[in-house]
Amino acid sequence: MNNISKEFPGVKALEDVSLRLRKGEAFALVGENGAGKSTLIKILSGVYSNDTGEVIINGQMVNIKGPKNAIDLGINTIYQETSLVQDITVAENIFLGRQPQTRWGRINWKEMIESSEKILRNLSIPLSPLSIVAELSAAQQQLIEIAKAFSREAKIIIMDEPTASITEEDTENLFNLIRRIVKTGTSIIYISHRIQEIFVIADMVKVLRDGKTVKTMKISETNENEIVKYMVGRDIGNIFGDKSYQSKENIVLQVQNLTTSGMFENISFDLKEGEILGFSGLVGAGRSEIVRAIFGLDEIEIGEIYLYGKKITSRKPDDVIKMGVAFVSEDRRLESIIQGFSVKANITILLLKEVLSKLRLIKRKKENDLAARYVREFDIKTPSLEQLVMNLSGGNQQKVALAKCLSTKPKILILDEPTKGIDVGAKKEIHTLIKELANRGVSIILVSSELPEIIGMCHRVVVIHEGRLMKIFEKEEINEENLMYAAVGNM
Amino acid sequence: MKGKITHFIREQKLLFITLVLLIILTAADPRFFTIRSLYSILDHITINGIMAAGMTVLLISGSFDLSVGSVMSFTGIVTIMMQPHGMLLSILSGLIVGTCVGALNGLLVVKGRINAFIVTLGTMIIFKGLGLAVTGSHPVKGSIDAYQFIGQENILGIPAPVFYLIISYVIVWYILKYTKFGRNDYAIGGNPLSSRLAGINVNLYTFFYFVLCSFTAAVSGVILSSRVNTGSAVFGDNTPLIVIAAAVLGGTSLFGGKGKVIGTLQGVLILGLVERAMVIFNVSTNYQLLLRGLIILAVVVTDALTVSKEKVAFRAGET
Amino acid sequence: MNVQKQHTSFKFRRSLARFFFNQAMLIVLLVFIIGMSLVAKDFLTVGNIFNIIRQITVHGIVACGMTIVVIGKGMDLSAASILALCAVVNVMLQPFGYLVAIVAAVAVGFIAGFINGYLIGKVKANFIIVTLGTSIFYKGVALIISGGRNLKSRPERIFHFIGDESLFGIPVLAYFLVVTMVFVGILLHKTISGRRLYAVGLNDRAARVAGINVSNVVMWSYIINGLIISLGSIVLTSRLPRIRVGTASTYLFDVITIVVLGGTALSGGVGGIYKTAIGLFIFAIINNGMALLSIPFEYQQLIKGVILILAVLYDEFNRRKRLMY
Repeated sequence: MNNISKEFPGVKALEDVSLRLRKGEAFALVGENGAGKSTLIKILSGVYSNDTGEVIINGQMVNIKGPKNAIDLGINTIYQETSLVQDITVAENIFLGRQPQTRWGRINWKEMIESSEKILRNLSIPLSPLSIVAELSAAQQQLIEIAKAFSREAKIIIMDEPTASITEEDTENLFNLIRRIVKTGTSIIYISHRIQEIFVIADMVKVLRDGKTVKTMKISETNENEIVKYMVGRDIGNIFGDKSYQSKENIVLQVQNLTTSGMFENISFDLKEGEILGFSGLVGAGRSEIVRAIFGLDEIEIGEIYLYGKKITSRKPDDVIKMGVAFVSEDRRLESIIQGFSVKANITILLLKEVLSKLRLIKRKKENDLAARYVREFDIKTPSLEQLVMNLSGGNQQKVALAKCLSTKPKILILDEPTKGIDVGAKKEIHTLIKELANRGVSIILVSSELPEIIGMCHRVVVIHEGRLMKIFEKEEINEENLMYAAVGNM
Repeated sequence: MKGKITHFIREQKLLFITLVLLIILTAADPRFFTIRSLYSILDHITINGIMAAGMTVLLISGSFDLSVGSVMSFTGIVTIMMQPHGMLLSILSGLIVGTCVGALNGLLVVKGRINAFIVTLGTMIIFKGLGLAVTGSHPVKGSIDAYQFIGQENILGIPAPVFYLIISYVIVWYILKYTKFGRNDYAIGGNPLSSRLAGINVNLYTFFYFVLCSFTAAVSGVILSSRVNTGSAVFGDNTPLIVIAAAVLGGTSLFGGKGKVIGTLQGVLILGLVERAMVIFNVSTNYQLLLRGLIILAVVVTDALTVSKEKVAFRAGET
Repeated sequence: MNVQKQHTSFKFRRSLARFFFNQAMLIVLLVFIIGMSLVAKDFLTVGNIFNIIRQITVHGIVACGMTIVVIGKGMDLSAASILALCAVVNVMLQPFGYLVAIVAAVAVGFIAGFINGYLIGKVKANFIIVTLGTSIFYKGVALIISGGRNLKSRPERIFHFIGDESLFGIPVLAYFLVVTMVFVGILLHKTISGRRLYAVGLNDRAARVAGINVSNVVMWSYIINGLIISLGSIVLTSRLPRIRVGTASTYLFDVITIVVLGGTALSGGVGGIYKTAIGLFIFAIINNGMALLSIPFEYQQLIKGVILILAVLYDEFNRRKRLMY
């Protein structure tokens, strides 16, 4: 891939990135969240098209028109979400769409099973072609996906975070499989946050940051520390102002031993009044799951939550809101606002009790006044109160979501990626708002994947790695390198 | 040992239920367990059974068809009304018309991208109305005596309908197990995106699944109208529900990707036995309706409770 | 539709244009009225109009309930069966006094609505098949209770009053319809529960995050629907001298047609009583017009079926348009 650039509205995802992949080579792609790794491989797998630059395979320039085209060209991608058909056999999945037929057009089961058996044996995958995919573990399904790609004579197999949800033992199996495949001449592009793994199987590594290539090097010529440095090294500058004020010492929220199998394990931390507590970590580490569970959207298997010293027994969003907690979801479009509602309706949805007349009916004027007040206070740019929120810009939508949450005057505010995908101006406004709230005594949990944001805004930072709490950093210890180290699993 | 028995029962629960029903029925009426009475049950369930086979194929792909009842009755009407032109022509025209409805359904769902519920609800209404209009709301009597042969005589000593039932199930079984048409059905229902990426023409296949479903409904329509020598627009009002319930009972999931015709056959059989039981126990027709409703509810609720959460959310959204 | 006073006149004109564009159905209604009055000579007489009102009152009441359920992104395919069941219960208990009969009918409506609501809201089973199943079930119960016979209705004077009399020159039926519509309208637009229903219909995930108990809201939408249908059944038994289970069979498709025709979206979250009212009038006019033109019954059904399909297609078209932002 030469000089690839890709721009999305408002953000330059990739700028002039080049990648050379040799036959039979395992190439690792690393970088922090939003560095551009996903975008690069999505271009290669046909999901996105590149704005500039070209893709050349085996000396020939190609134009990848779509995911199917990519597969035909020999580029197979294995994502974290399985692409197998669950309720049929392994053999059928390997031969999906190209089942071997007898002379009479009948499906030749015998041949399909024997061929699958051969493929699985060649790759030393100890699974039976007759197993139903749904009965296999996630790790085993991943092996089958690789077998499927391999059997289609893929030239390049791209793997996006393949070890994200599998055990160590399965990881070993996966690596053995990768080694075997690479020996046959298939090339692999491997994205992972686990830097240690890269040193086990990759030959080359490229570090991306903010859409640009930082360095490309041979694995043998570098080490973990160096890679992490390349991933984060940047000049933050003082765009966040200083955090001169202190948070108070009394604890408003206490979380103990929160565990839900598969999502997070043994999470314990405190939240102090008036502080901004950052939740940092890699995408998929489990931060959103943790805060959603605290808010009551998801189940908690083990653990206790104490609000103002009292234990919470009922964990439904309804009750939690009444206790003074507010939550702004990461998924703005689907969860934090109601698209088809007007600005007014979205803002007042939690506070309708306040706008009732004597007959307990909604008084239009009261509702309008209430909404107008918030629109002014938050400087939400909308042509009218009746405007549907789906027509507003991302930044303004987020302000509506914030206005809605803050309308109940919560004491604790949980923000999940509040400035994701928002233009710089609106970002600054929201940051200012968050700081003001903290000054006024509101305690804030800020989940963010943008290190500068975390470093600039938070008093303390909790780092989560694969569902476990790595460390809680105090003010002095907060810097990019420390956070990134913890995020990738080092202490 | 006990564990093994319960496991076996759970695996073959349909067979078990069938046995229990047979035992109950025989206990209630010893004459029940004769060849003739058993044949008569198979006779009754042929109509719904053949349609259930086609519906199973469509359900596996993730769609469903509410218009089968109307297609069945309308095909019967067309066939009977075309009888003055000769038996062969009349049967052919009936089958063609019925199959065309399937093509219409398929086209609207696949190309028009309208969801199956609305499309098949619409065709159900249209063809019921058309049936009423064409017959003037009176059942039409058949005019060719030989026609009745199709529904009523014996082939090789077995009642003809049973024969058709067995043949159609063997055919559908073969399709589902040994043809690409059938195997890709499971793929499309299980993971349409992957299927598309694997090169399967999801649209084309889905279209033909609708055609197949309506074709089986047309066949049932011909058989039914031959058996009673009448074409009427009121046949088939409850049919889509019974047929879908039979398939779901037999292990086909409403959410797609799963299903076996042998299960559907068992489902049809069980529902047929339940009907017969209601007759033997002199349950009034009113209670029968009630019971039918309850069974359908039970079947559907069980299906909803046993499927993974994400598929439920998707289905409930329906958009 | 509320135009802010401080806006410039340009924006005023633009909103006005959008207002009229959104009233496509209203325009259709006007066109129909004009068309029918030209085509059928008895159309615009007072007698005929009252006739129309009498014919559609029950439809209108049931449509109000259906509107509630549809806004919540569901549909009650058992509406006709609940109507039949409540009517049958009502008539059979009339010998015990009209109060008993009415209370019983309402209770039945509540229970039927509760069964639907519980299965759909709490158990989260598929609403299509649940309500199809319960429609068979309720119909069966109605048949059992009534023995399938025709039942003679309205021995009490109050039912005569509702069904036949007029108050200040307007049939009493009309008052029932209007009161129901106003009540449901207030419920939908002016109460917290109504606002929550719209939220659930538009985006149940966001509603949950906002602390709305989605399964409760859905359950209650079906319960209230059941209650409204029971009200419709009381009106129905007041109008007709004889009731049997089959009387209600055409109501389901008619009511769905009315709701969809009016512009309430099947995908939830959009619509209201105003829209359903328009749908009701359009439907009434079509029905009445076809009768005046002596169109045979089967063709009437056919035409109504086609109209339903067109209305649904139009709704689907609108849905796509809404998503295009």
